[in-house]
Amino acid sequence: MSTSLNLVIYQRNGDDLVEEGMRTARCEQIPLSTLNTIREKFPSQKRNIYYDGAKEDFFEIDYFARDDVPKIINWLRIIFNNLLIHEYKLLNSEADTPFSQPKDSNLTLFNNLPSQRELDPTSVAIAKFRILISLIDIFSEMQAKYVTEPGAILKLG
Amino acid sequence: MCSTEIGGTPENTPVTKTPVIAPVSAVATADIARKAEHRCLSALSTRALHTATLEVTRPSVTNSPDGGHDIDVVGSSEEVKELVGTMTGIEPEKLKFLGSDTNTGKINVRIDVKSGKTVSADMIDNHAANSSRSPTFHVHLLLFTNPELKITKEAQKKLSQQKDSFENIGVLIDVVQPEGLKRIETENKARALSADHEASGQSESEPK
Repeated sequence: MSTSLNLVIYQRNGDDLVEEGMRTARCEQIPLSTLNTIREKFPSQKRNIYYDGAKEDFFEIDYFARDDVPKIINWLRIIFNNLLIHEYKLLNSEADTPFSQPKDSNLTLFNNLPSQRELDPTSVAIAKFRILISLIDIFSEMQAKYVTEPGAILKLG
Repeated sequence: MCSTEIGGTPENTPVTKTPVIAPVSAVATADIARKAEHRCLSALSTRALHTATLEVTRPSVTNSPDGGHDIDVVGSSEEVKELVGTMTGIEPEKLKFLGSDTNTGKINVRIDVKSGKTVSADMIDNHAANSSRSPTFHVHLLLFTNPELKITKEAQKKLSQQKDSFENIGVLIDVVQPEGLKRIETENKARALSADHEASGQSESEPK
């Protein structure tokens, strides 16, 4: 089960955001358990998106707060280094149980991936790095390209 | 009028400006999504039971990214068109443009199950992107199970544009509303009742 993390550029209408004419800049599929771990540290917010300029119909979205984005990037980069060290140790260990959960609390980001029990350690490591790099990429794109664009939103689901 | 997006809980949540939401809702959403997939799988498998060619599979049970491949269906052109017609409300004869596998002549269907309340425009963008990345499939359905589903104006516009574009290459891309799944379930029940009736009729007529 995975969900998406979307970098969406909505149209602005005063202080409100409108979906008509929106653009999707990027979409990454992320395991729900991983997004849940991020939300424990950086709780997501809710806001309304209006269908159009008439501002009659709207729907509600969950998104990551703009102020949290640089903090999330830093946190993910630390996890990246920790994951490198963890996987290096795993590669060089002769333990009988290569699928042991990491002791580093930050690496709980990758717990509860059932595939870890089915795949070889290298495939599991590739999957973890792929998820982590996808996350770093989408948060970094938000920060690098859209930091001054009020319509840019990191929307969950 | 308000509807809640995928990331939230399915219940009616009061709309406030920027409240912080508890992370536990993601866990609840994961369970709701898993159950929605099983409901669809059950309905489609029961349907397949009454057909000659339909095969239903769940390609991945992990929570790793799956590119929108929750359920795959493959079968003869006739049976797939009938199934897709029932789910989408499109008359099967209007699906003549659909391509099929050059070797087997069968049609491959990719189904992405969603349990949220809103079909938003970014979801249609992502569905189209996932469809392009799955070129061996001829039908791509975003299947929604929430009975309170709303499709936004922009999502409807984008879906219409994408449908035209994909139709040109013999591919159907569409959204299945909850009524579509309900129609399959209703037909399954009717078939089961009919089968029971036939069975009991036969046993009554059998010599004692």
